[in-house]
Amino acid sequence: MKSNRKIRPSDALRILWPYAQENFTSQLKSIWFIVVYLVFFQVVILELPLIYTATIAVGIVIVILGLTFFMEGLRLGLMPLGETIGSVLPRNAPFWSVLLFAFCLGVGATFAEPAIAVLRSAGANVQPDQAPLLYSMLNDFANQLVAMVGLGVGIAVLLGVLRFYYLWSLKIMILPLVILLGVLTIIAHNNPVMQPILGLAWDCGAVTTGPVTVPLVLALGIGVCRVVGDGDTSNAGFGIVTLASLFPILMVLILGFSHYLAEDYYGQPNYQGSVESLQSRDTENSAVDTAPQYIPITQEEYESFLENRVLTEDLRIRFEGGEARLINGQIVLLNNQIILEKPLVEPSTWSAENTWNPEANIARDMREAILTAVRAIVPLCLFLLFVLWSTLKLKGEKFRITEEMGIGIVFSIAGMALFVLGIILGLTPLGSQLGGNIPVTFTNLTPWGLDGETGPLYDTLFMGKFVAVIFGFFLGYGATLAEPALNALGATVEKITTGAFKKTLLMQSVAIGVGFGIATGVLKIAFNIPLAWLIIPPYFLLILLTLKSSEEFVNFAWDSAGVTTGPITVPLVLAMGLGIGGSVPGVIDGFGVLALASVGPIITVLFVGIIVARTNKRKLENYPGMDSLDQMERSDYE
Amino acid sequence: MNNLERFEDICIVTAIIPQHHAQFCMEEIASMHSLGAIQFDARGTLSHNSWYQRFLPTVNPEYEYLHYMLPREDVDAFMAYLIKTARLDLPGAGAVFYIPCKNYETNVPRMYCETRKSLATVDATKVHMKTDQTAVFGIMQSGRTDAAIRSAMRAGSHGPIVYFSEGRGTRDQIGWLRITKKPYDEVIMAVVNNVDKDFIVNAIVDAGRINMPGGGLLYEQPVEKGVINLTSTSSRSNVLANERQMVAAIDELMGTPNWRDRRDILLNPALQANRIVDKKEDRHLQLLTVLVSRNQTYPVVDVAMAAGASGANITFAKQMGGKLDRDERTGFTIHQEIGLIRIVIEQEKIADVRKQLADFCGNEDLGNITMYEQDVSAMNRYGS
Repeated sequence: MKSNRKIRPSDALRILWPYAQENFTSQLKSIWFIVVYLVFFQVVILELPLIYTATIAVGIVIVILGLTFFMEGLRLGLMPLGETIGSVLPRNAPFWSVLLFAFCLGVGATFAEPAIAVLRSAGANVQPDQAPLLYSMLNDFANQLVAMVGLGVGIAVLLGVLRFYYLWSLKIMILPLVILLGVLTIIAHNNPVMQPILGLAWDCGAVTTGPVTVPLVLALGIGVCRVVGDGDTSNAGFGIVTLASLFPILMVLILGFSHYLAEDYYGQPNYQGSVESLQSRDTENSAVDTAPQYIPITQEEYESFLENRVLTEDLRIRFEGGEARLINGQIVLLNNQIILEKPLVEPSTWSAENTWNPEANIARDMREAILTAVRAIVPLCLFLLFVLWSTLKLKGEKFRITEEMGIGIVFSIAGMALFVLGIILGLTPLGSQLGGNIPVTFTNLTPWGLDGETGPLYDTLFMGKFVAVIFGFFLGYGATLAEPALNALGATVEKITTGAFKKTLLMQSVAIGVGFGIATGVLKIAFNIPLAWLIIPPYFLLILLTLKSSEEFVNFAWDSAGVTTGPITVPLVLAMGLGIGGSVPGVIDGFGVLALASVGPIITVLFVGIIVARTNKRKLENYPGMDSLDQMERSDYE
Repeated sequence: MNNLERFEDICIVTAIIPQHHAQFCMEEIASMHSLGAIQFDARGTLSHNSWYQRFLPTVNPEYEYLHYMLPREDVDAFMAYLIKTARLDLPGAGAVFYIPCKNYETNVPRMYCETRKSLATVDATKVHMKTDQTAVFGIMQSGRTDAAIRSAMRAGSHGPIVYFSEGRGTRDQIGWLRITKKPYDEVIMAVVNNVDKDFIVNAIVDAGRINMPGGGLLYEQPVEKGVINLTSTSSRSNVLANERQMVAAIDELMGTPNWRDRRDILLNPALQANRIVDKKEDRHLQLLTVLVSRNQTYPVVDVAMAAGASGANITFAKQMGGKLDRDERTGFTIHQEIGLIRIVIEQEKIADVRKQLADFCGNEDLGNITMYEQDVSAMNRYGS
């Protein structure tokens, strides 16, 4: 009999306000770095003004609000729901139904979170002639692609749950899988038709587990591990996310191979798709204009020039036609035309004139955001609640949704809608600007949303690209710290280890790892290095580290890989990848960066594990002659 | 109705064993003596010896916190057996101690408290256990734990054990606003010598802000016998004994800790002010512990609060019974989950609360419930 006291609205506010404030502040703390960094980089390093500052500012505030609600929603509603199911099912349902449930959950979660659509935009510029199989897989076989990825995630969740029952070590499951993937990658790498789909395959693995799937699947694992097994390692709730990141890669590669052998992709005898007219698709860069790249000289200025015959400061000399030769260290021009024009140089203000994005239609974006959120959360929740209710009903027990769970689910939906909206309004334009402008460090281009051209900022191509790589590192670091799924993982790890492994430690090590990964990704695109060269060595190192590390850390580390690429990192990274890829000759697509971003955190967390193992070394050493109880006197002392 | 059986003279043995070793110990005990444990996770404390270790990532050691319940006549032999199995004589190997309880009632006696003939064969006389110790439990909000731990260690305690628990009190009577409550509190547990006890308690109360509103609770229980060998510092491997071990050995030799240089403790006003109230003589406090199935925990707590308890702490644990849990059909081991409810309450109110709980359990036909009381020698909280 709970006695509910009457709470006056003013009291309720006094209780709610510090709570709201604290949560808002903690989300602000996770997102400030990436925003400040992007602004700083564009304005100070690239010396270009920001476009649409007002829209971006509003968008970012909405993102923070959305994240606040979403994280609380996870804590109150989704994760307890997952944990309850995980602990109720093994006891009350037959074994095969638990596995069936796991499989359906995996497949359903993939369809709920449309991460594959994101990859299609990464491959938007793929030309069918250059990469026929890749083009086909992204366009003609897109449904098969999603289905295969869903199948992969379903198998992964099933195997992950099975692992808890049979107490298999995660190491033993990962190593053969990674070796198989490595072998398939090497085979595909040496085949010119298959090589382009490597980036797609590895990226599919990286994007599948989104901000709703990960906490849910984690909570499910933890719930199952609470009741099943020998209770030895409470860390054994992890591992499903790892498998859900590796199996889709395998599935996509298999799909690729099967189509390659069936010869039914673009350009092959069995091709059944339609060949559309091949205009290169526009990227999102709708603000790129075709305005003249110089300010027209007016009639009056022309006449004053004719009078004075003097070059003013703002005129630029260009030569056209004729011949040019380099003789004795001097450029000698013969029969050229000299053209004087006024180039368009932007004033270095930090914010351009148009502060509000004319394309931004808040009503339409909000509708889209709410739809995304509802689609991602509601079907999964209904499925879980139905399973829970029916399982308990069969046993004669009642199941009631607690108030907290209901509030939690509502918060998650509201939070996700808000932060998707905020990302559309704020982070995506910011990322696109940066991504589009970053190649200015090493090449000549028109800055995003502006007129005119600016040349490379650094003298050597190498230096410019190097700066781009450094940019990529901090981009990865900052974006990862803001990811909600990583936040949830960190909090879960801290709870599972009873505070032994702090959340900040995990988040910082993962963020640094992702930073390195993204920097490597930028390296790949900027220097057009094939993906296989950059991904096989880290995975090899990873295998060695995994063998050497403790089971507990292997669990945490591999799961952090699945967590990292989420709704904040992916748009930023893709924009950057497309921007740089578009400016480097010979680059077909923007794939591969996300896959590399997943490898980095595993390496860093495993390193942390090895350092920790050295500090905490405590083996019960056999002191000579300590076997008999005569030595008990020592028990007095520390 | 409710078929609660009463047993007399039961002792609750608490063992704290490192995680990597705990599974082995539990299986040994389960197989040799068919004794089941209540188990939950906890973490220890590892402070730094060298300055550079501050910058290295450290992860505190993880322990398993085990409860065993058995008759007093078997306790010494069981403790000896546990010390031998878990090698608790070695430094850093863990801790074990027992506190007697009264009015032990349960309706699942097969897990606990039957006299085990096999234990009689273990020779308990050679084990030297200390008797002048007190177990200090400090319940506080999560953010303050680190400060309280540092303070306690400076005042002379070993590295405390920390575990999570959910608190129930006035916050839960406000309906949906419950969501604003922090999800769990941290409980600091240290078993300290009686001569150091006052300083350590004052240190924890002060640093953990237990004397502030909503700050938490600290209570002490006298430990009858115990062996405490928990690590506190990550020491260099080339020393034969660390500082703490040497100090403890010299204490033993001198017979008194007064030889130690404790100027910083003795002159520290925060540690000096005697804030201990609610001494046992004044208010006769008891710790009522109730063990129920996990999904019945919240209704049971509600009943207890309605019957007069001012607050409760809930820790979720697993019942590890070894063979008893194995599901015959599939061959998998599935554990029972238990909610461990602890209520600090005055002597006068206990009978009423217990009666209400017993009635509730009888009405709802709860199959797995255990209740017992233990002495609390002092309690510290805001306003009392």
